[in-house]
Amino acid sequence: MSDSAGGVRGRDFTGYRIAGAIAALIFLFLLAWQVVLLFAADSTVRPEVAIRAAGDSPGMHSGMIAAETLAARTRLLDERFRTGPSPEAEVPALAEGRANLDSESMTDGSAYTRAWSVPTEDEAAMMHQPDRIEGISSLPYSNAALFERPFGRDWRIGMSDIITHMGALAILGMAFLLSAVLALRGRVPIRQGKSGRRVHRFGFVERGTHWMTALSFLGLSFTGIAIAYGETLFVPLGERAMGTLGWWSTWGHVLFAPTFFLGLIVMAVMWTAKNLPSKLDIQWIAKGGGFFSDSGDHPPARKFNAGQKMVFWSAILGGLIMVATGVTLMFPYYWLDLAGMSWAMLIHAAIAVLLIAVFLAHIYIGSVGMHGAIDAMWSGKVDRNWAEEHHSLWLREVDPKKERTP
Amino acid sequence: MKAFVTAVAVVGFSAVLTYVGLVTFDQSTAQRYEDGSVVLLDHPTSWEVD
Repeated sequence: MSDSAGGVRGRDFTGYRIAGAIAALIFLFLLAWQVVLLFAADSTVRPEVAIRAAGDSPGMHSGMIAAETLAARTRLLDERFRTGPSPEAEVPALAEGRANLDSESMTDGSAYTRAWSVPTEDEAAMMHQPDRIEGISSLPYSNAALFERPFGRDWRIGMSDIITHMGALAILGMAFLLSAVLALRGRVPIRQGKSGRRVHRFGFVERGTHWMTALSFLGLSFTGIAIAYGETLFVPLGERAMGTLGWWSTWGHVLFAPTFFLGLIVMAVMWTAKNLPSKLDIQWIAKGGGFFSDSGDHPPARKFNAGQKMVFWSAILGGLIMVATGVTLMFPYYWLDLAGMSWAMLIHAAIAVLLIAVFLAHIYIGSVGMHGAIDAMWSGKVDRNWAEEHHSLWLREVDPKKERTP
Repeated sequence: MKAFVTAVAVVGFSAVLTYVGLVTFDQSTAQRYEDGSVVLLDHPTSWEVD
């Protein structure tokens, strides 16, 4: 549709609808894939090889001598790693390699881990120490013998299962919904077409702050998605790709944070007064913002309508929670202990996926979703007819004498 | 357009500044608390158990 034709439908709008339909199909496929993953079995670690000292009868898997021998060898390796080769030094007898160890594949290794990974009530009560389940390990890192902390397990389920899957559903679901709206509804047109006369809506500082926050948010979102979903998205591209993208994402995620925080503060100072709730908002929400039909009244709005107010408060409140939790994770143990940081990470991840879903909608309606909307933040000037339809009360405030231009 | 380009410049400059700042003052958590003021592992290591 040409801007000056005055119509609300045309070839351009049809093109957008076709693109929306294609995108909707793609997102529907991804959503279905995500649902399959949601119900797939969890990955677990289970023993595959049994090691025992020669002399144990084949049916016995006590393996105590084997465990002692492995621990002695590991300790020796650890010492040698730190001190360098020491051919003159005495080698502990057990680590010397004289004790022969046999190994064989285990038919059902999960029987050994089931007791503590999926304990019965009695087993759990028996093993349950204050907040951890410990065993014996010869692995050369210090917490290898700590099999599980109940809180750590709950945290892992919260991160890996609930937030990761629900986040993917929220983001892909929102993307599908928006694509479907574009396919079925098309772009929200300027009903009267563009008038060719523009009115000033956002100043340079307002637009600059918006874009600074938006670019930071995009940077944080992409790097955050790489951190949270990298294994699914990048491992198929190769381990090198995952390593490189993971490294850049971990750094990049921190680098975008200062401008994001600065943007939030400046936006809060500039726009909070105009985003306080009012009675007009109820009317606007009741009419769905006038988005779902080309006929009927557009609900009146001042500078910001109820939808924009919701986006504003999502950005400010959600963003401040993200900054607060994010900063505590940037500086481990400065303010919070392990439990506190675990909570911070859970909250950070949960709010993050919700914010990404909300801002997908904001990006959509500010660009392809609505004809003429992008001008407000790009040039700062909007068409008078657009302003009349979406912000009629604001238009009268800033330009009281002029009536709508046909 | 000008506002967008300015924002790109500000975000890029801030990212470089942050990177330089972090690299300059980088310190691992283990180094920071090597005086034992914070217990990073609140359980014994495997060979301390032996």
